[in-house]
Parts: sequence; C-alpha cells; structure tokens
Amino acid sequence: MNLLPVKSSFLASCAAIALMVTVSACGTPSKTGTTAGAETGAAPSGQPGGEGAMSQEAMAREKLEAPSMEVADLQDVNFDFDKSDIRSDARDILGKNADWITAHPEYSVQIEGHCDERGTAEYNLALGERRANSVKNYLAQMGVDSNRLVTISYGEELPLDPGHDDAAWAKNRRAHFLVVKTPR
Amino acid sequence: MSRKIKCIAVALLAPLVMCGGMAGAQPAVYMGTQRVESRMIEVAVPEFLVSGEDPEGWGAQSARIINFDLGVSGYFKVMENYDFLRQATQRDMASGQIMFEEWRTLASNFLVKGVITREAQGRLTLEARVYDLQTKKLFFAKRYTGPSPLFRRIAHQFSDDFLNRFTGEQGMARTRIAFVSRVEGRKELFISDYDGADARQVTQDRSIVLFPHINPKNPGLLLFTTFRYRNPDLYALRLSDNTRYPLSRRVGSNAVGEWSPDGTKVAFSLSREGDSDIYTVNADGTEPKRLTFERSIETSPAWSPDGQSIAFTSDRSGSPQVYTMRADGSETKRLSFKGSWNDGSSWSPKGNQIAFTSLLGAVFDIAVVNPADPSSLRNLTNSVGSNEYPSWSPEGRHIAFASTRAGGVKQLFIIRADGGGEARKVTNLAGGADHPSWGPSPE
Repeated sequence: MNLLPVKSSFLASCAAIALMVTVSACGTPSKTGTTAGAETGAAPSGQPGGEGAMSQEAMAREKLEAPSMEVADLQDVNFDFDKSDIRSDARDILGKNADWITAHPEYSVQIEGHCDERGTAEYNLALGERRANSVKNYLAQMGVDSNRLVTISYGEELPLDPGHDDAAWAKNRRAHFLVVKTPR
Repeated sequence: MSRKIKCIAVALLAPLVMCGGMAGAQPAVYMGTQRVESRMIEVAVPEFLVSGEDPEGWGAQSARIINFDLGVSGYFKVMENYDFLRQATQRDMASGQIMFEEWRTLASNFLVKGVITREAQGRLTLEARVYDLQTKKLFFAKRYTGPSPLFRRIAHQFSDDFLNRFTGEQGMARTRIAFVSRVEGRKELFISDYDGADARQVTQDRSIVLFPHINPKNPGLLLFTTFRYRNPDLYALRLSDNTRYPLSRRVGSNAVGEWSPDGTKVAFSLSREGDSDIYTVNADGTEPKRLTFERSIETSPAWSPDGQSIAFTSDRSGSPQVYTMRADGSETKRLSFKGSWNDGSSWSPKGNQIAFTSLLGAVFDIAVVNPADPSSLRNLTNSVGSNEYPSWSPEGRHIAFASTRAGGVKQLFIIRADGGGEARKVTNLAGGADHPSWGPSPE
C-alpha cells in the first residue's frame, strides 16, 4: 500500500503555490515543498479558545495553514517505540536544525510528529503530538524562539516507508520539518 | 449519487407504510428474551417470488438479506443452500400447497415465504409470511410498501419485525455503520448499512479523515476529525445536506470525539503543548471543560449509557491502559491490568461491558471487561489478524471492528458480543475500512 500519495497528491494541486513561494523566498530553501498548501476554501472560523490565548492560537493556526515547503537542511529525527525522548543521535541533527532556523528568521517552522503503524490510531495521534512537542521544547532550549515553531501530529497516518518491518517502523517514528514564510 | 439522496429524501417524507400483521391473536412474544444457546432456531428463507419482471434480482436478494440478518442475530440458524430451497419451492408450486414435511428436512422450525409486487410510481409491496414448521401454522405475516430504491431497507425491516416478534428484542437490521476508507490515497468518511451494503462516501476532504461517531439520538449527525484545514480538527456533519460545523479546532489534536448518549455533549481528546487530555463540549462546541489533568496521554473517551461515567485511555502507568471516571472527571479507576496496550474503549448500551483494543500477545484483539470487575477481562477475537476499534451495535448484542483477518487492508467485521458464532465480514472495499461507528436506524 503506497501511502505517499497523501502527500504527493496534495502536491499536485499545490505545486504551483510552492514553487512561487520558493522563488519569492530568494532561493534560500534548497528544495521545493511536498506537503499541502492552504486549502483554497476558507477554513471556518474557530470558536474561542481559552481567554487571552486567542491571538497566539490564531497566529499558530496561520502558520499551519500557510503554504509550506521542505528544506533539505532540516533533517528528520527518529524516536524509539512508544517514546518521545530526544535520542542522543537526534541531538546533533537538532543542533544543526536550530542553527538553520536561527539563521533564517524569515521562516516559521512546522514540526510534524509521526508514529509507526503499530498501536492504535487514537493513541498514536497523541504520541505524535508528544514527539513534535518534545522537539519543539528541545529547539527552544537551544535558543530558538518558540513562537516561530508550530506542531502538528499525523499519528500513524503518513508513514515515510510503507513497509511492515523494523526498518520501516524505525524510519516512520520521526519528527519532520517544514517551513512557512513568517507572516508579516 | 443525486438519485440516492433524492430517494432518502422521499423516504423521509413518506415513510414506509405498513399494513398490520395478519397473523391475528398470536402471543406478542414467542420465546421471551431468553437466549437459546444450546439449540439454534432453524429457519428456511427461500428466494421470494416476484410478480412480473425482476430486473433488479429482488427475489434472490431478499432471501440473502434476510438470511444474513437472521443468521448474524445469533438467534437463528439459516439454511443457505439455495438449490435445495429452490427445489422445495418448486414442489410447493407443483402441489399447490406448502409441503411442510419437505421443508422440515431443510429447517426444523420456521419457513419464510415472500412475494414482491411492483407497484405504480416506483413503489413495491413486499408480503412475507412466516410458518411454524412444527405446528404447520402461520406464525407471523406482514405486508410492506415503499419506494423501490428502499428495497433493501424493506427487507431489513421484515427481519427486524420477525426477530422482535420471536424474541421481544430490538433488531439491528436497519442500523448503519460510519467508517473511514481510503480514496486515492486519502482517507474519507463513509456510511453504509450495517451489512456493508449501500456504502457511500460522505466527505470529499481530499485529506485525512478519522474517528467518525454517529450521534445516538440523531443518526443523521456525525462527528469526525479532519486534517482538511491543516490541523486535526473536530467537526460535526449533517448527512441530510452535507453541511458541517466545527466543534473544536484548537491548534493541536482535536480527536476521537464521542457524542454523549443523550446527544447533547461531546467528549474528545485535545492536546495542549503535547499533553493530550479528555475534554467535553456541548453539541454546538460551547462550554469546553477539561476532565483530566495528568501529564500523561489521555485519549479515546467513551460514555457509559447513563452518561454518568467515561471510559478512557491513559498511559500514566507507563503503557496505554483503560480507565473509568465520573463524567465530571472524579473517581478515576484503572480497569485493564493485562496486556501492554489497551485503547479504544466502547461502552456497551446495556452498561455492563466495555470493549476495547487489547494487545495481550503479538497482535491486537477485541477484549471485553465488566467495568465493575477488572478480573472479567477476556478476548472476543482469537488473534487472527489485527483486530481493532470496537463499536457496539445500538441493541447491544454485537460489536463491529476493523480487522486484517481476511488478509490485505483492514475491513469491517461484526461479531456477537457473547463470543458465539463467527465474525462476519461486512465491507469489501478496495480502500479498506477502519474506525467503525455503529449507529441506530435513521428512522
């Protein structure tokens, strides 16, 4: 079962947008994006969240809905089964990612949390959220402005490798990075 | 598709007209509510006769629909050798009478005979008669008329009426199941009859749609989570006009929503800063209330039928396990003590069982436990394929779940909650089927 089309099919309708963004971004990102641009239909407005949190919430939402793209310099980090701790092999990668993010203030960063297919979809959605936040907190500790970081969990829905073995699962337990042009 | 919607609209405007039972002064309930465990009631349902042309194959379909309904109910053993049934029908026609002794070689208790007549203006009449093969008397008869496109529904209605007449219990033949299925690599929301027939795609989000739940008081209203707007948001959707409104679209995961039994509230899991907790909101999304406050993952809420308690999953012990709490968040108790991964609770309509997805061995199975007795935990499925995401039938005697037991992608199966009988496969979609929610009849 090929699961990549979920992403690449988004691409089909959004490639043009992604390309334009790349061009307007002075060529900094080295690779054009793969995931969704914003839906063309306007999202219905949300109901109020907690008091005072609304503007921050709206800003985060804006960062999520903006056309996003991949950057080769921002590498994935992997996790152990049912864990969200930052592994020692991930620290190096996150250090480099933090440097890139700090050097490119014109971008905000979406951190996607992903799980392997084992376990229930319900729990894995929460686990992916925990992984993405674990990365966000780590980057913030390294001095990255956390207001530039937004998280989203895809749970087990978007495996990188469609296989059903240890090697595929190890790849699929990951945090992935996308960037969006920071709204002015 | 537009034709189908029109048909449903017609159905709502002009519900099936039922003419009263013709059996006269039979007792209302034949066998009471006692489950016959040792001896299944044997019933023969030959293909119905269709007066005139039968281009839709109603004659053959009616027998198959009713045999499935009666067989899966757990009360009946059906006779599905249609060659034998056809031969017996031909002997009756040749002799001009019902050859009871012949029928009794095929089934010892009941014979169902039916005639379908095509009426004017796209309608049909289905008349069914149930004979007691022991007493050789008419046990029950009923005539139904309705729009031809609702043929399956009319046959299901007879199944429910017969079952109710025989057992006193509510049938499930007109219930529906919502689920998700892959379409061109994305996941969309679908709904079908409980037997998998008439599956139709409800959303066109071209994204990831997960965790549908049918409102138990208003089965035309569905909850689900969609990534359409670039965040897992909780939405409600009205089937009648396919409009939707947001219930919770806070940044983070708004997921695994479940309507309360009275349909006025929704429990769901919402993550803040990576910490997933159980919340409730009103059916219009107002008055969010947080029920859990641990730093661990809390997800998959399931209401008790009285609305007073909620089962949920927490990994506060180190692995995902099932807990219960009062609906205000108090009195939390751990319920599952076996297995390394228990999640996805569904509370039975009778209140005395909670079903969930359980990892005891190498694969997931559907397990059930009495909420008052954690030691009663037992598996309903037997580790054939991965078995996940249980949902109780509205009448409380069956459970739908998603499984890879037939090979390939997950499909939906239904199984008796008492563990008897075989799991029946109800979907066979190229895109598979997952996350079932079993809801009541739409009428």
